Amino acid sequence: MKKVFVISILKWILLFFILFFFLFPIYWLVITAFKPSQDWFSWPPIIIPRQLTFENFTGQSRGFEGSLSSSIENIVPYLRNSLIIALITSAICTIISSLAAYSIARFKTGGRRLASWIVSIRMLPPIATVLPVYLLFKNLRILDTWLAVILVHLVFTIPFSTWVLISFFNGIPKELDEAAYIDGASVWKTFIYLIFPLSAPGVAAMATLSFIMSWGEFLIALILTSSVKSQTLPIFLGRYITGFRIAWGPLAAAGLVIMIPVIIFSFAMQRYLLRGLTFGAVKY
Amino acid sequence: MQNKLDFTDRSGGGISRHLFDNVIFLGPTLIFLFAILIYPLIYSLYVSFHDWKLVSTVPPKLIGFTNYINALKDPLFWNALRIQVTFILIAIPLELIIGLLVALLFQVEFFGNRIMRTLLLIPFFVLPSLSGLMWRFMLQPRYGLIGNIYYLLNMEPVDWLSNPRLTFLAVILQDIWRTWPFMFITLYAALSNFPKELKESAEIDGANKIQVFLKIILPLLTPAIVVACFLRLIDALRIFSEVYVMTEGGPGHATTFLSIYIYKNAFRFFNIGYANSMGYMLTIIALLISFYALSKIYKEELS
Repeated sequence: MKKVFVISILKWILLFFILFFFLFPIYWLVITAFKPSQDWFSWPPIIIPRQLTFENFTGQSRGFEGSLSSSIENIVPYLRNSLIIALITSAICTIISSLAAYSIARFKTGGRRLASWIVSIRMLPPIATVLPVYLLFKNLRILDTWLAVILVHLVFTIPFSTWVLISFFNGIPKELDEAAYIDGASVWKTFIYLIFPLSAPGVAAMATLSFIMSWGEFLIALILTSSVKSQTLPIFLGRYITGFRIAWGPLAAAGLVIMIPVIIFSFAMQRYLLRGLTFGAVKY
Repeated sequence: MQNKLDFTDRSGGGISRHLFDNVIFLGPTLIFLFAILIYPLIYSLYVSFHDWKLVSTVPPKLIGFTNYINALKDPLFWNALRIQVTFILIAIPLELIIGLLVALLFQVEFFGNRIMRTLLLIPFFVLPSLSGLMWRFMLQPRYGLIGNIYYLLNMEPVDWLSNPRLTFLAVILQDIWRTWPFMFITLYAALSNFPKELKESAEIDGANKIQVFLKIILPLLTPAIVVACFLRLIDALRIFSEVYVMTEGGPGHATTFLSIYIYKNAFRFFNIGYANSMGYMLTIIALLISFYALSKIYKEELS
């Protein structure tokens, strides 16, 4: 008992150092978001803030000459774009991919080849896909719209979500379907009233994950959008950081706004997320 | 929950019986992937054979393989490839080692095991673009975190992001910081699935800890290590947003990874035909790696 206790203490000390080291950048972002403007550029940098403020979030910080954004208010239209794009992507992705996954899992449509083809889509470098899409969308005149971003986000979320849902549907005993068929239910009724509710946790997880993927995506949105009409939050941040004398406080505050939903959702969906990320190769 | 795909047909009648339903079930996905993925990829091949300028009144001109030949002659293309390979060879092994060591540390049950594990995962859930932003901020010599370290050491701060070598190092550090938890949690999950008796019986037979690790744990862990490294490799091949936000490929060309070089060619120099040809080569590299790896890793799952 005593030995176990000593090991626990030693581990805690060691892990505390690891934790301190790896979580410090996040701590830095968080305190910067709450620092008053005179503390953003102080020398030496302030590690333990003397004074905390909500100015960066509410937009009351005065900023200074040459700074590009002095308050978080500017992010509202970008926040709207991000939310709409991520919500629609997530909704369409969940519906389309659960249908496809059900067909592959139950009727073995396309067999092994279709399934492995779907996995390999995740391996494509997005830059190579988005260049021709840019040209095609330019001809269709749908660049810089929500639709353009949603369509391309779907290409990368659907295969991911289909693959994970296949394993979910495989986990539901086939006898249940068969019992429903014998009772006279059609394939559709079986899917909607039996399989869908039974796999609700998995479907909800995939909806959340596709939301996160779309919410944080950078490259596709960077190429396909060009104005406040459709630019998402990560692009807004990425664009403003290149300016001279950046107002770090509001930027950090906006960064927190992006990060918090991702972290909350990720932790809630940890198990499914990891299974999805390793494509089921590692059970967690 | 089983993960294996089972392709034996037990539904009696199978595809033919459900032909109509299947069209509706799979149709949307297939139509969609064809329209927004397959068709653009074919179009990309077409564009790559042209001298195609993004903003120009001159119509694109068919020039055959010239773009591909130019790319192979382009020192900056090779530079981007070299940076990409160096990055992969340095970052992934380091992530693996850190992840493996911490995963082993968690094998003995101790108080707070679960909460520590969760906290360690946080960096992995930080978005790449935000991570790039945070690191850029920390590396500001005057008011960033790095400035603080120089201050404590009583030294004049160095601007990392204007020194090519230090910038490359910073990109690697950023990547390790953000993705080692992935290695950690993957290996931790694999380790937790081992039967405990195996280790115990080896210890009873008088094997020491290092022997147990090398002879028993490591061989059993190899499949998980291969999967984790493969998935990281695929991600490292298309690294873009964190570098774009952090350094924009600079200073000079020190951190111009392939994706960034392709992006710059398309949207800074407007040479989209050339960019498409390089994009195609990157796609082929990624697909070759993934077909090879998938056929090995998911052999049992896909058969």
